[in-house]
Amino acid sequence: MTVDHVPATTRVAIDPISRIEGHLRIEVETSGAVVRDAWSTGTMFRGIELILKDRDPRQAWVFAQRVCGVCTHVHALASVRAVENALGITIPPNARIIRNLMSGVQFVHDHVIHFYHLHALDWVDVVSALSASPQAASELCKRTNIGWPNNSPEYFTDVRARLQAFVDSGQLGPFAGGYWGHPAYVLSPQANLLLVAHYLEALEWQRQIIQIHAILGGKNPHPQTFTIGGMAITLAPDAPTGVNTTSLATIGSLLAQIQSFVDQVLVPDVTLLAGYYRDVWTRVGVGTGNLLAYGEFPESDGAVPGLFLPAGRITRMYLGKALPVDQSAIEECVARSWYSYSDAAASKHPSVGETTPVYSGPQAPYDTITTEKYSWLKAPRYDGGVYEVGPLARMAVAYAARVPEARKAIDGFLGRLDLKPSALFSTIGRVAARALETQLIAARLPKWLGELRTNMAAGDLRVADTGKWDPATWPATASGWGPTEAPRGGLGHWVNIAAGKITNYQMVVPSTWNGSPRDGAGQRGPWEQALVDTPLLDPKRPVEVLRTVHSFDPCMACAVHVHRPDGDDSIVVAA
Amino acid sequence: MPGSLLVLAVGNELSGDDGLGVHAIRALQSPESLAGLPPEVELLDGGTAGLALLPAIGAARALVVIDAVDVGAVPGSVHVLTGSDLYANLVRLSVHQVGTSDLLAAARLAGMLPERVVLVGVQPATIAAGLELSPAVAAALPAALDLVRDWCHRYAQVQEGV
Repeated sequence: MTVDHVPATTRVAIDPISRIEGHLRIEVETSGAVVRDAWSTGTMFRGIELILKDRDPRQAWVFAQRVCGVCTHVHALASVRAVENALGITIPPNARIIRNLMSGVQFVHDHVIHFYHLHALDWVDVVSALSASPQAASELCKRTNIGWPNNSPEYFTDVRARLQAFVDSGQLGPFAGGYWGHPAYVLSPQANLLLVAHYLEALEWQRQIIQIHAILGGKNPHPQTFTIGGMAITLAPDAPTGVNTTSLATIGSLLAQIQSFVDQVLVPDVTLLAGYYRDVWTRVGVGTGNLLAYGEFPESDGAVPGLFLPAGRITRMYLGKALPVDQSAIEECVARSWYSYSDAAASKHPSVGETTPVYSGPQAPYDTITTEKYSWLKAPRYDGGVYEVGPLARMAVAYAARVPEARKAIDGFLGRLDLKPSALFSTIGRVAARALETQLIAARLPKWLGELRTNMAAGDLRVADTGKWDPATWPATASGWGPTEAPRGGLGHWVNIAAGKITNYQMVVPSTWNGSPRDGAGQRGPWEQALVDTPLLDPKRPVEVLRTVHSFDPCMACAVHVHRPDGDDSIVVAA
Repeated sequence: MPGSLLVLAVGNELSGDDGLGVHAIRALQSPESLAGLPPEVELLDGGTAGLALLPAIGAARALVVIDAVDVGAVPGSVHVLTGSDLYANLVRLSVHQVGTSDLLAAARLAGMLPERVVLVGVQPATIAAGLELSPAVAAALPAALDLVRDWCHRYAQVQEGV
């Protein structure tokens, strides 16, 4: 037998992959038009833990919220929760509700932006949209986005003309990096035009939504109303500023706008897209099959509040039961990361975590990173296992925990596409879980607002418990952790306090879980696992790889800070 | 005439010179500095919020952006980009990806970008973790602030029809 052709193994580097702030590098090895292996590298050291050392723990959240520009609120929340946990502070019900409202609005806002502005162009061919019939787009919109008013042929004629003018200008901005015409794009021209129209509508829509953060956060994009013990905001029916009768009414009407966009535009659009991509992309991007959620949105008070989206774990894709989460089982491994631990341990719990950088990678410029240690991300593991965090984890845990709203939404989606629950473990499953979570939260926000209104009407205007504001009331040493869910996934801050100062501060952020490198046992991180077996038709145009990585909503500003000045997706192909 | 004259600072104060915008806004917010600015100026510390800054841009009549920009020049050098220069260089100027380039392009696509836009940028020396500006960029800050003030006055005059 003669071998006349041995398929060469090709290593492709995509650097950076994220359309949003941050710096991530993925290297994949392909042969036979399929990804065989993958390496995820955070290429910039993040020094926030060192910046927080020796500071006043009451001020930590102000710095912590700057670690990720897009997730300001959730970092502030995790930080105040960590300090409150360390000092044994219980916040009043109104503070809990306001935090829920702020987080919930951020989830909805972030998820909508992620789908339309950071991920849709991996699925939507902008150039194809230019060839669409506005009449066909109008008919599709009437069938898909039932009840949504912008559905006339004239409307789509106008959108197409705006898009044409933008393309003709030659300054493509967000559309510059697209792989238009790639055979992996399968939407009809009218579906492409429909989604481009909603891309533009979502830009306009978010202008309204952010007003809620301005009311509750005092300032956007960096909320200023957090405080240890609750919220620093005025709450009174007749207050001149802050939360008063007028602002409650404004928020109520904005929440209604949020919900109609999510119900009539986002969820139907994602369902439409999932229908087109169902056959390949509900089987690609499976990942670890292990999911972890800290849970979020406390709906009762006390030490162990009931959470709207519960905490839990899924292992080996088994959706029959959600396992408990014990934060003491979390460790960060640095066997393959550019750090060293003082006692040469490979893994440490974040409460005793260390941030000592030891770079041993190649000197720039380089084409590939083949060193043993290859990332600025540590590798968080739960009981030694690799876990994915994010909307899929939260929805799967809620499904397994039999949260009725989650079951109804997920079963409805799966039914419309004739899919089994196991299809959730896929690239499209992640996209769908994010949209369905958006819908659940959008529907829940008015309930929380109603509870706040009821409390205020009953005369409960407490927003903070400041009984432990004075460091003289603190123990000599204290330690705590603050769990929350960021839109991108579980986020934890751990703090140690001694003599009124921070002695150690560690964050384990969602993109560190999902983008982690291999660990001491050689286990791949979630992105790395999800990329294996991804089709890759053209290594020079790796849109398929982008689909799977973007389905996790990577935010490397959280995990590693931005570094590279030129943001172009440089694709280095090396034999 | 509707809309504000928005001074938008972009950048991350945890990352050395990338925090230029945040340092600049703080300096502009001092009472003495405010007194020297046209009254319709609004100052916004945009951090690295990316597309979440669109609403503020859409509400503005004129926009002055201050940001760390990598144009391959000497650290601490100050650069003003406007009109076609700005758009020609808009592709990937900022050291954060959505910080400025995609943000302004998305605003333009959505029809929200004001007619008058200028970017005052400073070439960073380092964006490694840290709360301080490098000596070169700290030394350039007063010149950058003067340029921001100049452009605010220029845009204010346009409004008055001078």
